[in-house]
Amino acid sequence: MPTKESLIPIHLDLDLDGHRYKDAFTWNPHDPDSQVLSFAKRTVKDLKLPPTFVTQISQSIQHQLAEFRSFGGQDMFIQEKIVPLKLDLRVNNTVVRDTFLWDISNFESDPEGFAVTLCNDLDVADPEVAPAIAVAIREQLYEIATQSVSAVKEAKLGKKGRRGYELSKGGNNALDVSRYFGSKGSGVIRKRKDWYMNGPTVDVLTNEEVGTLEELNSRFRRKLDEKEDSFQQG
Amino acid sequence: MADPSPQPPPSASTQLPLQPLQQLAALTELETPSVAPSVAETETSGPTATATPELISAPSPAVSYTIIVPSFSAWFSWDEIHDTERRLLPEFFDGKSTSRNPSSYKYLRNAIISKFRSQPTSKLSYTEARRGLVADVGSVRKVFDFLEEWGLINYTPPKKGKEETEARGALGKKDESSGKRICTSCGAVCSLQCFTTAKANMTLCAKCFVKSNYQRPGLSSADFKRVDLLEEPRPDWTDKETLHLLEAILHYGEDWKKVAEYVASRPVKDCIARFVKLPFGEQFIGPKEEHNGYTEQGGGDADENESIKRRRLSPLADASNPIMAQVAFLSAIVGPHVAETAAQAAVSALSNLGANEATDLTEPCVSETNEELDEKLYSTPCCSVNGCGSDLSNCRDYHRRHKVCEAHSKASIVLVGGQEQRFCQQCSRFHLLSEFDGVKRSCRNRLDLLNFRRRRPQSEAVNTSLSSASHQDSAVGEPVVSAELEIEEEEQELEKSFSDIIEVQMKEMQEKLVRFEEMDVIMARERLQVQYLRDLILPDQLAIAQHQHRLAMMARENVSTWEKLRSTNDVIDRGTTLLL
Repeated sequence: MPTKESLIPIHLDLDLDGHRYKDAFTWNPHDPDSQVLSFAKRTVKDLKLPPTFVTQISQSIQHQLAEFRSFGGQDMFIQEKIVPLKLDLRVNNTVVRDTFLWDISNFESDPEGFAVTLCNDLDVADPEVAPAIAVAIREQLYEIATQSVSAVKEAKLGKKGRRGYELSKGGNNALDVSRYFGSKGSGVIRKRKDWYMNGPTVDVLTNEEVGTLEELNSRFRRKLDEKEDSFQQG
Repeated sequence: MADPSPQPPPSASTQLPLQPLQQLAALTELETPSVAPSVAETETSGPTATATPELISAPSPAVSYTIIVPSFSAWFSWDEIHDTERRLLPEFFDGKSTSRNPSSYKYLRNAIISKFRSQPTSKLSYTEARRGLVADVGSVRKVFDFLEEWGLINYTPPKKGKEETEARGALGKKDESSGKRICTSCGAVCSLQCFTTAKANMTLCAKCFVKSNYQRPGLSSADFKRVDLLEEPRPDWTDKETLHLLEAILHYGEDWKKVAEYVASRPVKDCIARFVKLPFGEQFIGPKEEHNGYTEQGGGDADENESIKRRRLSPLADASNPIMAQVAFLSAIVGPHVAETAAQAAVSALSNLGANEATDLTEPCVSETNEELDEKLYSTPCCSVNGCGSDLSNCRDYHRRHKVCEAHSKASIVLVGGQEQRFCQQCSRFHLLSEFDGVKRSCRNRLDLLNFRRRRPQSEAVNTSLSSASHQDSAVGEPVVSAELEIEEEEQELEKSFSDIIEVQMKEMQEKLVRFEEMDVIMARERLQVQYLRDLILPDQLAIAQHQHRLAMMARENVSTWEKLRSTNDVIDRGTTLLL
């Protein structure tokens, strides 16, 4: 993880016995694994979910932790790379959309601090938005990290056996900074047409809009599931 | 919130094993403005002393409510980090991890505490706390646990000492008002029904629920549970109110609206419920007559109750016993007083009959039984079973009275008087074996009686009187003996039911054992399967390893051939240069 402290973003989306539990948070990998079970028990107790959730939650968390750890200890080839990160999330009534550039090679970068500052500056009323933003940022960083690790692996197993690192196209989401910003001398100012995209937008939805969004989401998900099923059968 | 400055010597009274420092100081008085007189009883005897909380008033602007912090956490302040915290949460202060540093600790701690204090009456759960915090859940958990242990959140003082009651008085009022279910969205007091959801700790009144006015759109209507509040505000009925109620009923009969008006403070349903539950019949402990049940209820209160009670009596009429049905029907028609007198007359006639018939028999019987009773109680009897002359002076009264030792009272067949008999536990005598069904320990007649009696508890009195009238053994004129018999029967029933319960539990355990064994078998099977799979994979792994090895060999060969070529090239080059 290209941050000083790697906190693992964990996603949980479980649907059992009619109880839906959706959560996203960060986990400190230095915490012993015994914490996973106690965390699961505590959550189930606090939210009064049926006890079958305990095993599901702990399994899911451990799975994601194991995935993360499998990448550990491997070289992440990080050039000086500036990567665009996107935020597009909805937490209760607040929708946040943002695009910004992030410097991966700078290990001092702090997603949590960014999230808190963003929420404070934009006067976001809901306190649950900030952790969601932090988790989203970490997820994207994690994606990038895994991609670069796999790119390094590919390069090592490359047929030529040469020592040159060639980043495959898929892993290259670094941007040529000069091309990104205006050409010729406008230097650090963006092209005008890109202005609208890069600022943060925060919308507060009313409850009905949220309701319709959820409906659409669930319908979409159902269609996806159906397609998957038919695909598997076919 | 105004917090007092940290008290210099924190009290050592603590239940926590974590505090190594022995700062013994008796905090007898606080200089802070406290709502109640400060607690003078602070035990400082050591780690086993219980914590006595003291009041630190911290009124928040919206609600005048005292936040109570235990004395062993008096060091707490918003702006500083105390030594205790440094010691107990070292991972935040040792600089080993970047996400855990003093500022993040402070942020977490203050956020959690303010979250709790915004709703001091409800317990802050860990999940609720971590929701709004930007940090990894492990850190949140550590801080949360620490704060909870030290009573800085989720702390309610224990109920002891008069000084506490004052504080709790303030607390209690708040509790009551919050216990009265105020809707979280519209703020109205919910009277009829409310809908709660545990997920967000919200309570909505019926209107808001229907409007779907949920605070958080993550909730759906399925998350809410309905709570009916009709029974909840039910303070006890005072005597005065009961008196009013009865007077009102007397006046207005069944017009419940008027009755409710008369009884000022109660809604209609409460009135009816209370009235129906009023105890009757304690004044009427007459002899057990046929219509005892009815007369007790009928005569216990004003006459206007009759009509209502009559309706409740109709189940009596639904008796499978046709005689009982007739009796109930007649008594319902005729009215309580007539029925009472009729019943009394009938019973006295019966007893006279019985007495007349059995005068010859009963008198000596009575005297005999008395003698026997005396004998059995005061002499040292022996068991009456043939061949068993065991001394019964060590057994219970029961066994002595009926001249049977414990073993034989429970035996299935014994020889008494040359006949195969069994000791009936209900009649407390020996009966012929033919009187018993199967291995039961009570004779058929008695069992039937019992079952019959059990099925109809309100006509219990009737049945016993009827049966006793029909049983020529114990005539109506011997209430004492029958009472004793009944006591013994009850005892037996109790013992039987105990043994039944134990049997059932044993069966449960056995079934559990069986199931666990099955599970063991399944587990062993699965283990074998997994091993088998592992064995299957082994050759594949070997093949891959070999392949790689071969590749490596080939690569080495390539390199060596390349080297050779290079060297031959060199040789050739050198040769050509020499030639040239």
